[in-house]
Amino acid sequence: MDVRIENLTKTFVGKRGVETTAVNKMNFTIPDGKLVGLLGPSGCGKSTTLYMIAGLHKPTDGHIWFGDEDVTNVPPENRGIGLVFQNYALYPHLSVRQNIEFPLDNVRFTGPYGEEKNRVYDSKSDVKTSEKDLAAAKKAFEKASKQVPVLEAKLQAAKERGDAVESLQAVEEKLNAAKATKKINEERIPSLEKHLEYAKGEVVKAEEALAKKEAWFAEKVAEVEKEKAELAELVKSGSDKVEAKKAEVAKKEAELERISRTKLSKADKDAIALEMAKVVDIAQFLDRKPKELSGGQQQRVAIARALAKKPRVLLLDEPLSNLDARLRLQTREEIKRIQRETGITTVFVTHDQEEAMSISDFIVVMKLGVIQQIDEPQKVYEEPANLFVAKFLGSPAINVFDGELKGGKLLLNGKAIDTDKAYGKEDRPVKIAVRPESFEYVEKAGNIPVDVTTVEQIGRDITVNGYIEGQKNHIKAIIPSELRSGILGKAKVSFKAKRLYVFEETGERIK
Amino acid sequence: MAAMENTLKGTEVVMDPVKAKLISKRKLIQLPQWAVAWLVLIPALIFITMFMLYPIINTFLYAFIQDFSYVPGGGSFALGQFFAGLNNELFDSVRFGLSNFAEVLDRPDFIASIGNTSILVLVEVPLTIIVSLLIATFLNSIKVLKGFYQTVFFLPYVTNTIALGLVFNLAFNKTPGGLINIMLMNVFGVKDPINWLSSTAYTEGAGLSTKFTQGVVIVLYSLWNGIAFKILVFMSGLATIDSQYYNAAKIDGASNFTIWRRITLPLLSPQILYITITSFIGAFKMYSGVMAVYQGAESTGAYFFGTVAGKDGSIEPENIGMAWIPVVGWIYKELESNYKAPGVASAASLILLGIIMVITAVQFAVSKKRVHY
Repeated sequence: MDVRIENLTKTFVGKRGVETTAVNKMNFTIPDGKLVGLLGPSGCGKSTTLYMIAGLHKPTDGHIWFGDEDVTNVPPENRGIGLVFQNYALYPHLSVRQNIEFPLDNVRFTGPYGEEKNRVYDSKSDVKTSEKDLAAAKKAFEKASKQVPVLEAKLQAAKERGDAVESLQAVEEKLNAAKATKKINEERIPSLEKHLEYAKGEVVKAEEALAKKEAWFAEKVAEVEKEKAELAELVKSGSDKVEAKKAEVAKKEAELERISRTKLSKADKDAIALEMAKVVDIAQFLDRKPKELSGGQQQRVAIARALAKKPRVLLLDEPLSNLDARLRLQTREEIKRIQRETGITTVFVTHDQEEAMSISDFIVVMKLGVIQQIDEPQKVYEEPANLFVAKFLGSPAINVFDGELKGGKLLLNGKAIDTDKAYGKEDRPVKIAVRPESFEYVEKAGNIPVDVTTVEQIGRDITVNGYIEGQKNHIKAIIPSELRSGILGKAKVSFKAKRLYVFEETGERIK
Repeated sequence: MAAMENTLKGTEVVMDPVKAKLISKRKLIQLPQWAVAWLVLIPALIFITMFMLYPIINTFLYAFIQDFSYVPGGGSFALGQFFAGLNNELFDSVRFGLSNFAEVLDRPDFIASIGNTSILVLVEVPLTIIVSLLIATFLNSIKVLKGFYQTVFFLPYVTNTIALGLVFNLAFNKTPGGLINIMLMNVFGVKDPINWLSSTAYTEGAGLSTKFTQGVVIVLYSLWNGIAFKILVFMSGLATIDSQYYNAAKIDGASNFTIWRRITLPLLSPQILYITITSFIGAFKMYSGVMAVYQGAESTGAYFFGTVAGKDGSIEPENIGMAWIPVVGWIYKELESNYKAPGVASAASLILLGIIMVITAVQFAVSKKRVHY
């Protein structure tokens, strides 16, 4: 089940009408069966995006598609998602088994055509919600449209009268707000109308599917009746095929029974709970209460509970931030393993780039509600799209210097470096970024002179901390231990950059 | 290390700046710490001993001494006087036995009072707890006017028992002008005014109050009186439930009722247990509430708990004030009746103690399985 985010926007209106845009026109697709990490600093909108995918927040604009079903107006319990909260939210008064079975107790409308019934219900409520949204947008548009000429006239009159600057500004602000509202709703109305058409079509499709399934089920029932009648005939005629026929009828009846149950039996629920517990490896704790488990175990119970209803998408909110360092490494692997075994499309949110790099199939780097880059972890690390991504990924952080492009050459402090590449003709200041491990120590052949402040030896390699003359940022270089003899004790060392990135002053990458 | 010493100072104390020593104008009294502790506790201990410990021991003794008789004018020292009156043939002529208990249980009016109290408790306590639980849940879920409603529902707590009884007495007046009767007749279309509490008719041919109507008034009164504190406790309990549980339950597909039943109530169970136990204990001891409703209406006797007339409107003199007499009321009434009363009354109160203990024990046993901390 792939997840497609289309133009997703979420704006929070705080006190006194201050608007915060948490997520700004996001577009991306999560391929089926992949583990995707939403990565970014605090406040970048990643948790908001996750909660919108879950359905706990309603998006201000945009659509979310699960496969080819638009779930934007579907309430969270009907979307088929599993959500693991940051603090697990395990019900403290229920045992582990009861926690995992809790979502199974609320299964609605299962039975021979339960899913189809669900679909009809969901699509009908989608139509209702879209009609409401469309009406609201139209009303807002009309109101704003009426206001704009009135306010323009008012502004004109105020200008002619020569009013004070403040009152002119106030009227202008109102005018701009009205114009903005008009424009936003103008853009939204066609997309809402399209969605309404789509929703109405979905209702028709769903009702057809329901009718088909009902017919199918009626057929099955008739089939069993026929078999039973045949059995009765055989019994009457005293044939010796009675036993075989009885077995057949019994099998068919059991099948019918299984299809038409509207609730899961206790045995079924226990079986599912045991299966889930085995997947996350807490089968031996099924009868304990959550407070008798360690943090990592509690988290696995939370994952099992999310997986119990076999969701289409699994969502994890900062799964590792509540665990200690050692447990984090262990649980990372667990999550990766579980995702691979179940094959469920998984989205998780994190601010720890190491965590995201180690287990994701794709990383979505976000900043202030805007996607910076979506790529495989190694690509995001090695080919950052902009300075923010380069600085965010990598530990220790990338070193950034001020340089310039002059005459097609890259200059650092006036000296040319990276002479193999030719840069564009335009002369401009740029930012040069080098990862610590990309510094090369070649005796007497370096072109980046560094004033050394400290040298840390941690066995595997040595870290050289220092300054480049004329740069305000200090530099951290990681050099393999074998070369330490040339560096220890020296106040000035020269490095070469094996690989460097050049960014515009605004942050985009220059290739 | 020297033991910690406390000092009791004389009234005038002077500090010597050079030697930094306290020099009192009177002699310093040095006391060890345990003595100071005892000194501070003694006033409280005297009170507790005199007004709690001694009466309890007294009661036990009264109850178990057979044929205890009460010398008038002896007051609290009746026991001592009793022993004195035996002419020092103490251990020969004092017989301990259960005759008082037998006598109590033989009295039909005592059995009736136990019945009355039980009915009132069994109706009032669950009703009050459920109503306050619902109101607390409602208060917890509204955002507008929450403070206003909280105040409204807490007001009964600050009202006086007897004053409240007067209000209920007036509201449930038997005439068409009584508040409740006005509401019933004009809003709900009831034809005749209902006689709630009185054993005389309001007008010729009108009805008399029955035990049932009187009971309704008592239960409503107790409900009004009791919900304020319970709502407070439940609301504080509800506030401790993390809202993430509700989010998780919503994602798990639970309806609002399922959430209330399977998440809210179990997480509220410690508070529910506390309220249930204390409510039952308090309700079994009910006395002033029942009396307050009647306001001693039709008799100048102090212990008036309602009168129910017979079918023909006649009233037996011994039934006056006995309609809803609770156990504690019976005990008080008994204490005034004759010189053998203290023994019998004490036996009755010990029987009440036994009943309450059994009920509390049952509640604790049930709580082990159903209360989650």
